Order: sequence, then C-alpha cells, then structure tokens
Amino acid sequence: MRGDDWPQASDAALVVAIARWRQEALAEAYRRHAGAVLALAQRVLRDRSLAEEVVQEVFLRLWNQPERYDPERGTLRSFLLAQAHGRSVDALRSESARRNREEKEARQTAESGYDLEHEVVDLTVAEQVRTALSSLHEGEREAIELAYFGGHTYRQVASILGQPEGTIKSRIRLGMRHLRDALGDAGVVRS
Amino acid sequence: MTWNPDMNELDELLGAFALDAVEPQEAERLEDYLRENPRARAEVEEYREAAAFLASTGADAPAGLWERIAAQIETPTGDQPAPLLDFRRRGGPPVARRRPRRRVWQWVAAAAAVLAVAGLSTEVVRQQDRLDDLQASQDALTVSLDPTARHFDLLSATDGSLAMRVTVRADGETWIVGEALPTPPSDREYQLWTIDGPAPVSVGVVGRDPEVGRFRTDVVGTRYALSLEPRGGSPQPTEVVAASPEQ
Repeated sequence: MRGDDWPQASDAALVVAIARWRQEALAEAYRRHAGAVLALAQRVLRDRSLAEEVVQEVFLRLWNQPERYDPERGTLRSFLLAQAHGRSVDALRSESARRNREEKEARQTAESGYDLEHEVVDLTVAEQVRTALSSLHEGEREAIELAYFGGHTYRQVASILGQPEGTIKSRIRLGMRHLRDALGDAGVVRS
Repeated sequence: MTWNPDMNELDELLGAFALDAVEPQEAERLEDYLRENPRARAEVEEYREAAAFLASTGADAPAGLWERIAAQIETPTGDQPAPLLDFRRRGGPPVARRRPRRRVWQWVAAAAAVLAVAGLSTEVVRQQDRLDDLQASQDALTVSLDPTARHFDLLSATDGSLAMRVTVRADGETWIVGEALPTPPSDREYQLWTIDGPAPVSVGVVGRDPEVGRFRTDVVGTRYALSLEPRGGSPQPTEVVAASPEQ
C-alpha cells in the first residue's frame, strides 16, 4: 500500500496490516483515533499525563495483540475507545488515584457544569448525538454520565444520586438501549 | 459471600457492564456469561458502540505522543514471518494440528508418478505480489467468513504445522493465505495443486513468500497440496511440502 492509500484503508485492512508489522498502519490508526482516545481518557481521569499513558497502552496493545479486534463486532474506533475507557476506569479506581481524585473533585465541584452535550466536539456527529441524548430521560442521562464519564460503579452512582441500586442498573440499561436505538435511527451506528 | 446470579440479574447488569461500571467480581461473572450467551454479548457490544459515540470527538491526534509509541514498538527482523489473523476461528476451540496421515502422501506420490495424464492443466497462473495489497487482505478476510466457502488447511509434511489456508468460494474463486512458510532456495518457489480425480492439477504458482493470493480458476478439487518447484512452476508436483488431510 502506498503512503497516500492508508487513509482509504478499512478498519479490517488496517488491522491486518498491523498484524503484518506494518508500522504505517498503526500510525494511520493513531491518526484516526488517538484524539478521541485521549479526550475520553482525559475526561475520565481528569489528568493529562495519566490520559497520555492510556493512549500509549491502547495503541501498544493494538500493535502487540491485533487479533483482539474483531471487525464483526464493531468499528476499530469503538474497540479502541472501549479499551481506553476500561483502562482509564482501572487507573481511576486504583488506591492512590482515589485519594487524588477526591481532592480534585472537591475543587472541581463548583465549576463543574459539564454535561454530555458539551463534550461532543465533532460537529458532524454532535447534532446526531444531541438528538439521541434528548431521547433519554433525565434520570437515564444522569446515571449514564456518572457511570461512563465519572468512572463510578452503578453502586456508587446509586449512592451519589440517593437511588436504589436496582433503579440505577435499570436506568443505565434502558438509557443505553434508547441511545443505541436513537443512534441507529439516525444512521450513526449499525442498527 | 458467593454471588450466584440468575440470568435476569446478569441481564440487568449488561448496561452497567458495557460502561465498565460494575464491581470486579461482577465483571468476571459477566465475562463468563457473555462467552456463553451470544444475545447478551451482542447487547453489550451495541451499548459499547453507542458509548463510543458519546466519547467520540473530532479532536486531532495528540502531537508528540506518537513518537513515544513508535519508540516502544518492536518489529521483528529477518525471516520471521508475520502472524496472520484468524477472524474465522475467533471464539472457537483451538484447531488441533494433526500430523498428516500417511495416506495423503501416498496419494500425492502416486499421482505425481502419473505422466502426461489427460486433464492435467498446464496453465500456470502466476500470483501477483500481494505484499502491499491491503485490499487483498481485506477481501481474504471477507471470503474467510463466507459460510458457503470451503476451507482447507494445508499441514506441513515435516511437523504437521499449518502451512497455508485455502478457501474456495462457490463460484470457484480460490483464495490462499500463507502461514509460516520457510523461505525456499533461491531457484525455487511454491506451487499450489488440487486433486479432483486421479492426478493433481495445478492451481497456480504462488511465489516464494505467499501471503494472500487469489486465483480465478476452473480448477477446484477436494484436496489441496503445496509443493516446491523450480521457478515458473512444473506440470506435476515434485517436492510436496504441505497438504490438506484426507476428508
């Protein structure tokens, strides 16, 4: 594949090339997805250098274990973001991180004001995501934000919101189902 | 305290699990559950894909970080062949690598001894160099998932390891994916054969380092073999190095 062909390569083709030790293929995957991976890790960890470590881990893992990606199961982007999210949450929940986090959260509570909509920077996707999010109930949106971006377990979310665990489990599941359906209707994800 | 959830309790957790929002013990149990339950696994995958949209931004790849990654990448040097992905077998039991049974070699040896048999195809199709052709790789992947295609595993004569995979579509289009094949002597290259009658028929010359290749051919058979031949191929196999086991 010539240098200018890489941007046209599909996810599966890129990963096959990565499996053949083609560094240019990993560089292309990085070019496409590292921005989103870093942004997600940073959102969850609220720490740039920890987030950069997550980016490195995710792409090194892609290099060393490309077979973990299954094109039948989803896009490379959602695979990398799921990896990034898992690693970020693990780092967040580790002992020392917890202490730092409590301190940071105390500082940030006042200025917080973020909600899901403002995080989506890509204008071409933002409108569709906004529409999809508006189909969620307030309780669903809140639970999903605390779980996904806050890195909390559903039990912690229940405790934060003062709701029963069963209610939170259900809100998260239903909310994700509604989100999936809305994104599918918008043609943004495969339905 | 052991936790013994029923299927309903596990299903209730699928949303939280997709968002990494469960306890470690729950995550372990859910991972087992998803391995056994494709419906639940599909549900989690859909939620993860939807979550990726929440996370997805148009942010540019961070500058400077790539260099740190590139510095940590190891690329094997020399003749070490690249591992090939096997999307087809994902999640299934590991394929047992059997030594080819003696009968296979006798068949090939006997067939090779037959000279000038009518029906021997003398058309030798030379494989294009596919090393840089990612489209071929992706097509090979798609073909390997085709449920109507037939698959043949060519096992090495020396150690029974997997040498090449051949996939034959219903329309006769034949794909090869080379595994860890040794580099041949400089005056030789690999040739692929099939048999659907008394004698082996050449599918084509696959080169010295076959990775992914495709042959448009009328020649389809019930068994396949790979041999080492002088450059340009031979009308009949001389040194068979791998073959698919008897069906």
